[in-house]
Amino acid sequence: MHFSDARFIHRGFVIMALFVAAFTMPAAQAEPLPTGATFSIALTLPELNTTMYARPYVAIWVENSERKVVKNISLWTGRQTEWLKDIRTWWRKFGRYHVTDIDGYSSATKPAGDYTIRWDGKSEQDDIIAQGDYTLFIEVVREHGGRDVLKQAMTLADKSQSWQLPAAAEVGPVTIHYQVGQ
Amino acid sequence: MKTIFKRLSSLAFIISASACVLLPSMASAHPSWVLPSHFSVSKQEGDWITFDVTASHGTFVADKPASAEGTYVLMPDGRKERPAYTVKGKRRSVFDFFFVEQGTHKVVADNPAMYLTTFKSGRRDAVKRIRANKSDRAQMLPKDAKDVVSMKYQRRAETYITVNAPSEKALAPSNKGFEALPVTLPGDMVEGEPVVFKYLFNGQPASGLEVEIRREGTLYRNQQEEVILTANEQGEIRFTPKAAGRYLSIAVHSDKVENDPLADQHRTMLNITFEVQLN
Repeated sequence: MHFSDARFIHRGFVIMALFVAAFTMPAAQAEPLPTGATFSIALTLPELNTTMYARPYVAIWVENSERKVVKNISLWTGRQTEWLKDIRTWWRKFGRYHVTDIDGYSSATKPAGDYTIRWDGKSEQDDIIAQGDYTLFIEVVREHGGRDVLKQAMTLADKSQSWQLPAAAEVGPVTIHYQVGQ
Repeated sequence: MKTIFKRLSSLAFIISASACVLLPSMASAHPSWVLPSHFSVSKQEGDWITFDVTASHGTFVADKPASAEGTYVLMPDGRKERPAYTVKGKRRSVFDFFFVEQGTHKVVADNPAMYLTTFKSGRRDAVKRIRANKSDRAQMLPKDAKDVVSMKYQRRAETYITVNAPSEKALAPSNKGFEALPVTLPGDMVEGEPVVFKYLFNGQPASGLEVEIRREGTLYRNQQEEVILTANEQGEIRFTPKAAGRYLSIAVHSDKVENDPLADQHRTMLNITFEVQLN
């Protein structure tokens, strides 16, 4: 009896230790991005020969592996709020929950041309995000025109990486650089 | 000519008689609906939305005159407002409403109850229908009338408008009569993802209820592509819309009653217009 009790306790301890390890290990792995890691997103808004051209609305954001928005990087909509709902995916995931401080996110719409957007890897809470799996979203919507949602899955760790997205109707091509160190 | 006309008119009678037979299942009814110009508002100053109210066989193709007189809006805090601008047309009614309060609004195009009595009479036991209730039907029924059933019939069309993020207060059930609530909140319904509605009767799950879901655009495709679902024990129906667009869910609830001096049966048609968004 004593022996088996001891074994039971011993086994219980091992299971508990495994549980502790299982729960603490991912947290231990979740190191922040390396110091000085930066992003640059180079994109083109194409010249479009249409009769009723309006500058597109652009939203760029990053989601984590649980599809939660960790950072709204850019929002080119001007001061209007009427058409925010038409940046449909962005509106559903982020915009509709941030209407009171949308001024803090939005900047002017941009004419056709090449743009480079930079991000320092900090979340909405201003912390450097953890290393792991993320998805970058670029949603472009044009009045009298179309809509594109570009997505790029990214595993962010301690190495630099680049991704290329081919041109869509309303945006592109897009080049994403994740730069670690010099 | 005269005989042809006679034959035609007797044929018409047979057709209309069979239409009466079908009536109890509402197979020949024109589903009523309310269709907003927009389902969501992001404009900080608020915005007007315009609505059509009508009844038709084609999904969102205006057809029959319908009144918007009984329309009201349940505001995000639960209070009731009435639309200010209503126009009655030949094949639809129109009203406008200004949306500025944060959250989900429930728009209800309610119609006053009508009373119908169906019965069989004549040598062929043809089913006939008169506009009479249980208390005044006696003077209108022929002497040989049998299988007489009086019905209180109500039609209600609903939709949801969301200003910014959705909220739940306006959707809370009253636990009176036949009603539905979107378990998947309006604004969260997306193509390729499950949509769940819950149907209740006097607060109890309307399990076994049949609900038909139709997608807009039937004028320009050959198949109806309707989805027919049966509510589970929780009164819930679940489906995954393949395409973004505007949808109409159609449900009829029937209940035999003992204590209504005007009817043997209560019947409610509840149709909900909802938007499934692009992913």
